[in-house]
Amino acid sequence: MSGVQLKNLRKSFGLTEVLKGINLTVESREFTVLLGPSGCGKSTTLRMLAGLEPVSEGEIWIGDRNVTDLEPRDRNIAMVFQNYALYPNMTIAQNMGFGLKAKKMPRAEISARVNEAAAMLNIADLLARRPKELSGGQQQRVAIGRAIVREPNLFLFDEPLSNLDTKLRVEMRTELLRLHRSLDATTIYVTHDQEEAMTMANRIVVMNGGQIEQIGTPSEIYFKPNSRMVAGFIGSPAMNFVDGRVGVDGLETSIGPVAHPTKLASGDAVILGFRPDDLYFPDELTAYQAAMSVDFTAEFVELLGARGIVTLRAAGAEFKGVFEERFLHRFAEGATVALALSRDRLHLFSATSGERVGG
Amino acid sequence: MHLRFRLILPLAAAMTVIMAYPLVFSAWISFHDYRLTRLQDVRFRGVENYAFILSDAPFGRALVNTMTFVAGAVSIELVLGLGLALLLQRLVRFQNFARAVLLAPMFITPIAVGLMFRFLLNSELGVIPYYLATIGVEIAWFDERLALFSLMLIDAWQWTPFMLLMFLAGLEALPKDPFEAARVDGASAWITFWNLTLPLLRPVILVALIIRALDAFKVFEYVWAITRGGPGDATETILFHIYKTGFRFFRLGEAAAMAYVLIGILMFLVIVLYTAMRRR
Repeated sequence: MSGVQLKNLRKSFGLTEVLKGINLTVESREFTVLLGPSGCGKSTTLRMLAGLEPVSEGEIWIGDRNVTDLEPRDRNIAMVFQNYALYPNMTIAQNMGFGLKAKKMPRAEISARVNEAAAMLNIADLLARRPKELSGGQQQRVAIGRAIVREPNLFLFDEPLSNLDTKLRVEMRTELLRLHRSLDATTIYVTHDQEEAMTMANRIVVMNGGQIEQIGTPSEIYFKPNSRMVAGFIGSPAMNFVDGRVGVDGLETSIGPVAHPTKLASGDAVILGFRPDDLYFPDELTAYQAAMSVDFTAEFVELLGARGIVTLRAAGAEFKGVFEERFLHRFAEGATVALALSRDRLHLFSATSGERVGG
Repeated sequence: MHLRFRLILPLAAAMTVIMAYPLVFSAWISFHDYRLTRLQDVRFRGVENYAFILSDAPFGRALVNTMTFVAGAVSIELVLGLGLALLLQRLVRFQNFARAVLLAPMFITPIAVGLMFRFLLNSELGVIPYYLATIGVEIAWFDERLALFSLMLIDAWQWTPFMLLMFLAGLEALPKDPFEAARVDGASAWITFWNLTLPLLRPVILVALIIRALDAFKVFEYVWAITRGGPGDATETILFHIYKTGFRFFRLGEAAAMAYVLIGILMFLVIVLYTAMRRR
C-alpha cells in the first residue's frame, strides 16, 4: 500500500478553472473522504487521480512514483463508479476478472481471486449472471469486487452509494468499512453526503469552489470548523448563524450581547455560529458556561423519534434547535422559551473572510 | 362505413394499385408462359417456370456471383466503416467536416457512380490506371478475374459512408462509464475493442449488415453501366440476369419466377440475421 500526494493540482476546462491548487497528503492505509457540494471539484480531483482526466498543472504522486502523466493502467489503482460502470456484455465473473485478464494473468489464478472476492462480498451465487439481472446493491458489490481482485495500490470511490436507497446505503457503509479494515488499503472516497463522510473517514477533506476548505478528522471538522462554509455544510440541521460585531467586552449580536472573549479589534464584523444541538435550557448550564440567554418563540416541532427539530424565532430571524423528545412539550406553537448558549460551543467567523476567528 | 375505415381508404387504394397489383400480377405471370413477343398466346405452365430456374445454369452462376458480391462488398464496408468510425470518434474536431465529405458519395445516383468509375478505371483512358502505371502497377480492373472485385470496391466507395455514419452514431450512444472502467482496469485499446466495443456495438452492426446486404443483393446499376454482366458471365448478378431474361429475351414468365425466388432468398436472409440480432 502506498500514500498519495497531490502537489498544487490545478485543472481548467477552457477558461473555467475548476481546481485552484490542491495540496493534499494521504497517508498509506488511510481512509480519506473528499466532501463538498456539487461542483466543488471533488470528482474532478478523483478522476485526475485515476488518470481519466489530464492534469492542467501540478503533480500527482502515488507512493514514490510521479504518476501525473501516466495512463490509468500504469497507475495500479482501482476505481468504483457512481453508476457501477459494469461491462454489460460480460458475466459477473468476467466483469470482476477483466482487469486481471488484461494483465494476462493465468486463468486459474483469475478464477481463484474472483471466487475469493465474491465470497467476501456475498455474491458467489451471482457469478454466472449478467449485470442487468442484478439489483443496484448487487451491482455495486460487483463493482467493489472488481476493484478488490486487482489488489491495487489505491482504491478510489466516486460517490459509490448515492444510487442506492437509504437502508441499503447504511448497510453498504458498514460493509465498506469492514472491507477497508480487512484489506487495510489506502482509500480515497468522494461523496456529497456528510453522514457518509463523518461515519467512514479517518480524515475528511472539505472542498468548496475548487479549493480545499479544511482537512481534519471527522470530530475536528464537526467541532472546530475552519470556516463559515465548513460550519454550514457539516451537520444536520445546519448550524445557526447570527450577524454581530465585536464590542468592548464581548460581542453585540442581533439576538443580544454575548460574553465571549476574542482577539479581534472592537468594531470588527463577525458571524456567530451555534449548532442546533447546542441550545440549552438555562438550568443545564452553570453561570460561567452560559455565554448568553435568549428568549425564543417556538414555531414548529418536527418529531424524528427520540429527538425533534424545533423551529425557533428571535429578533426576526429563524433558528433550529434539536431537543430530546421529553422536552418537546415546552415548544408549543407561540410559546416563549428562554434558551442559553454554552461558551465552549460557540463558533466565531470573520464576516469578511469567513475564516474562523475564535470559539 | 365507419369513419376510421373511410380515412384509411385512400392509402389502402394507393397501396393496392402501387404494390398489391404488381405483386399479384407478377405472381400470376410467374405461372404462365408469358412472352412479350407472343402476348396473344399466353399459356398456363404451372410450376414449370420455377422448375426451369433450378436447371438454369446461368441463374445458378448469377446467384453465386451475387452472393460473392454481397459478402465481399459488405465485408469491406463493415471493416472500413468501423475502422473509420473509431478513428473519427477520436478526431472530434474533424467529425462534422468528415461527415459532410463522406456523405457525398451517398447522394450520387448509383448509375452515375457506375459511369464515373467506368471511365476512371478504364484501362486506356482511366486516370487511376494511368497513375498506377507510373508507379509500375498495371491492373486490368475489368478483366474476368477482377471485374466482380472491382464492382465490390465501387460499392464500397459509395456505401462505406453509410456504415460509418451508423457506427459513429452507435459509438456515440454507448455508455461512457464502462470504457472508463476498462481504462482504470488496465485494458489496452485492443483488448477494450474486442471485449467491450465490439460486443456492445453488435446490435448496430447487425442492423447495418442487414440493410446493406439487402441493398447489395439488388445490385444492378454498376453492372449495367460498366460490365453488362461480362466479361463472359463474370459479373452477371441476379437482378441483371432477371433483367436480361425479361427485357432482352422477353421471357417474362421465367423472369417473374426468378424475381420470386430472389424474394424468397432475401426473406430467408432477413430472418436469419434478425434471429441473430434478437438472440440476447
